[in-house]
Amino acid sequence: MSAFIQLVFSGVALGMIYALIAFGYNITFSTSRTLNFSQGDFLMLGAFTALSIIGSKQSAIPIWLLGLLAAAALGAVLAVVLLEVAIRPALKTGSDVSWILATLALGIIAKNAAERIWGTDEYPMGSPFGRGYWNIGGVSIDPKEVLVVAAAAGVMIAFEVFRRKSLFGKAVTAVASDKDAASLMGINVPVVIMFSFIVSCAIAAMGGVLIGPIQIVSSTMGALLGTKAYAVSVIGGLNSGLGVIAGGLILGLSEQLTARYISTGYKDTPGFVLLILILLFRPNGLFGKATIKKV
Amino acid sequence: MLKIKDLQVSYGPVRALHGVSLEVPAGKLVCVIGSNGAGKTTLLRTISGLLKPTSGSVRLGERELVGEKPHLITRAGVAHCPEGRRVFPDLSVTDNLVLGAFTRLKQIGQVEMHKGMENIFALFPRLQERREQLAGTLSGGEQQMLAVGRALMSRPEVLLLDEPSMGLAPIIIDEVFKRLAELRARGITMLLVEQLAFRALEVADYGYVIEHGKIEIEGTAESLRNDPRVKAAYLGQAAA
Repeated sequence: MSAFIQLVFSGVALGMIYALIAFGYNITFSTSRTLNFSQGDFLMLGAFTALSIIGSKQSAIPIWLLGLLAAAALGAVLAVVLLEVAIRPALKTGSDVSWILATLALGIIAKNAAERIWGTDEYPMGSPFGRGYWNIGGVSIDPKEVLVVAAAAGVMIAFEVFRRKSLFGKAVTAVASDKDAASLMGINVPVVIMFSFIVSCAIAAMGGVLIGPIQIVSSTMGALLGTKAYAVSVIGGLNSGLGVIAGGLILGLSEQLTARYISTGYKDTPGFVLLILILLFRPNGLFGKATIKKV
Repeated sequence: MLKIKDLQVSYGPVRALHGVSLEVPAGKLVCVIGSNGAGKTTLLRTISGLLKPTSGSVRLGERELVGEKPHLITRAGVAHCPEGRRVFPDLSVTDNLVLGAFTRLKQIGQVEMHKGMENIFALFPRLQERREQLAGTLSGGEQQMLAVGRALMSRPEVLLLDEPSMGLAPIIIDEVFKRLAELRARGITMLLVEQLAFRALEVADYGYVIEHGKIEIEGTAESLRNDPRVKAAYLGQAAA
């Protein structure tokens, strides 16, 4: 029984990482109808940047926070590059294929750059917690996983509160629902879109700092994470807000349970099967809204 | 106040406005009437910067607006209540109004903004009843009131109104035009674009008739109401 609870908790932690990255996809998709298909590689760059500050051993909390901040800052810079170099020029061609390919290309460049700098080795990454486990009622829980769940939930809730309560947050919602009407309110729409990319990429980069200590840091760590998070976005619904949490948990749990009770070889299967089913039967996602228009 | 000179707008090779000139003096309600596709919405979208003209000028006081970005034109004092209302469906009535004051909120602060909102509620009591509701759940007429109220929240120098009657039941249209008459009495400068020529001319001071992207007739609202050409085209009466 306790093994099962540990398994479930690992699934939840993994699911929250997926949800966090997916949340980033949703933010830019809502404001710009585009998203960054190299988000996983940005996560990897965030992890490496933090690794050079935090190191591979248990670190003091301020050092760890500094690493997290550095990753977020890198994410913000990458967001500006992404938008100005890849997405905005590609959108001028008027084809959706252009921006998709442009963001994928940027991801390949990011991965190659990381291999030039850090090589193709795999590195362990430190966190404020060491190798020990917490024993809670006979169940051993990895504190690094607790950190993942708390941090991911914290970031998502903080952004939702900002979006609902602050004036600029309401402007973000306005841009998401109607760009022309938003600009007629005096909202600088390109600035809001830039802001959404900065938040999205900073979230992905911080995601790397959270998952690094649980998995391993390498130049290829982002690819599968980014793809699975995209599946979570679609499962939850690209315009669903917090629907990604449900999507992430479904995927994280199904992976862990499949790995344990069926075979580790099939661990990635349920997520992608689910993605295909959702695309076939509920293309707006489980929690996506169909928009109502009154004429 | 708002002075438009020789405005030309094209959608690709298709010319939509062929040199439109008109004036909206301060404190007046000026209407532009014309049928579907005459260029009315194009005219308003060009004034507020959503479309770029190929030539011509739009002046607000001394300031040239052509070439400015839409959000800066709003900031300059032009509020545009767009065709089809375009309220933000996922935001509450109150939040829609708050965003209407987006350009001013930093200068005026919360207290002054809420005073402005009370004024809007006084004008449209229905909105006050529904202040916490999401705008997407309002009826068409209520959304129209919200769209007008939202535009007024910026305390504009000129209010552009694009077919406020569109898609509304006749009894609601009466209500909307009653409110426009009230706004006119308060001295708000307005440029109203309407297909319902007769209703528009009833509340307006001055009118222009636009056809195929050109101003064909202009005059005081009263003279247009009695113009046989206008009657023939829009009031369903045979020309004398």
